[in-house]
Amino acid sequence: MSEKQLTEMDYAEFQELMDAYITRSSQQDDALPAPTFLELLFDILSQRVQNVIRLEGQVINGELVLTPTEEETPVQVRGNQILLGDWQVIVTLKNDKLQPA
Amino acid sequence: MRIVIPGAFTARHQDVLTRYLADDRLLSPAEWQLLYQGIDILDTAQVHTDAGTGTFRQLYHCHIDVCFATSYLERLLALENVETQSPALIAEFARRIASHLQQAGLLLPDVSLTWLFYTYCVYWWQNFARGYAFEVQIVRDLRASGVKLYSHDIRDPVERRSVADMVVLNLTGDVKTSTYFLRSASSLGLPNDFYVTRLWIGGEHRLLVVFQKPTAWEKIDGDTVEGQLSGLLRLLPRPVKLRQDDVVLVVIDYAAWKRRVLQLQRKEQDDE
Repeated sequence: MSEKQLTEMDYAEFQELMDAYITRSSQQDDALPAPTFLELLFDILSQRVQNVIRLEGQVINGELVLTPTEEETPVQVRGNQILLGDWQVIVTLKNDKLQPA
Repeated sequence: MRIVIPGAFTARHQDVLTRYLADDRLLSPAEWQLLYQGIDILDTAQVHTDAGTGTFRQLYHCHIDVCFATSYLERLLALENVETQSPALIAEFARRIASHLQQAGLLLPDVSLTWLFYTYCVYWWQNFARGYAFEVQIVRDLRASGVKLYSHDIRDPVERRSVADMVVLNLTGDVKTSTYFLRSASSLGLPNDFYVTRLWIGGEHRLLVVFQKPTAWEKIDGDTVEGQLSGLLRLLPRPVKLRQDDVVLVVIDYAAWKRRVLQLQRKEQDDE
């Protein structure tokens, strides 16, 4: 651990740290070593999706209505909205040529 | 004002962030991973004010991206030599962030958690600003070399967010610094056919390379040598096929890639 955490510094010390960071990082990219970058990249790409949530959509009175295919899911679904953590996903139909179910 | 940092952001995350700001050359591979994890967690940190509640990511968008991005990009595109002139421009905009956040009441000297928000903003601004400086540099270099390409208009906030930065030989491509490259990767794969990036290989030395999906490389040439992640630098500038589990990418030195693209475009033109 470093001697002092960022939020434990006094403000002048913090400003000095940020000013030096701005000077350095404006000149060059992060010094992320190539082998570490490759390892992280391939690890991300190799990760398997662990959990799948399936939703079904129907057009009812011109509105998209989504329904989970299983009773218990970790997401809340309301009409065309999906709530996941602090994310709200709103799904709309791009064109009106789809035929109602 | 009240700031809520998610419990997942631990003292170790803050420690590695502090050391990254001081000197990123001293971070170990595990610490880089911890740094990226910590920044991802801060995306969802919340700021509650009389005006409402927003996450760090939402407030970055409203206070930094909306206010600075387009004017920065216009100034960037007006530079004659992006490589030598962009560092001063990047620093100029980064130094505006503190006063902008102070005026908005989001950076307070006596509320140290607001410093975390300021740090988060500067971190992402620097990545944004360097990323586009790199993109402009590469697009100009490709055009100057005679490569035919279509590139998106980065002054347009909508077009700027397109998945691909450019199309070459009907292949979609992106120019990404390593941080953004990692952020665009997911278990669903990479959305584009090729990625131009810069690898840091120690000292002041950086290497320009192109990562491609095997199908994209087959269209350009197809010839490769097999390599391990740890041995890549020894095998370049030859095209190297890297494999881990069932993920396969072909990496080639940027200048060699450009040469082969040019040869193919000239051949296609002669055939017409």
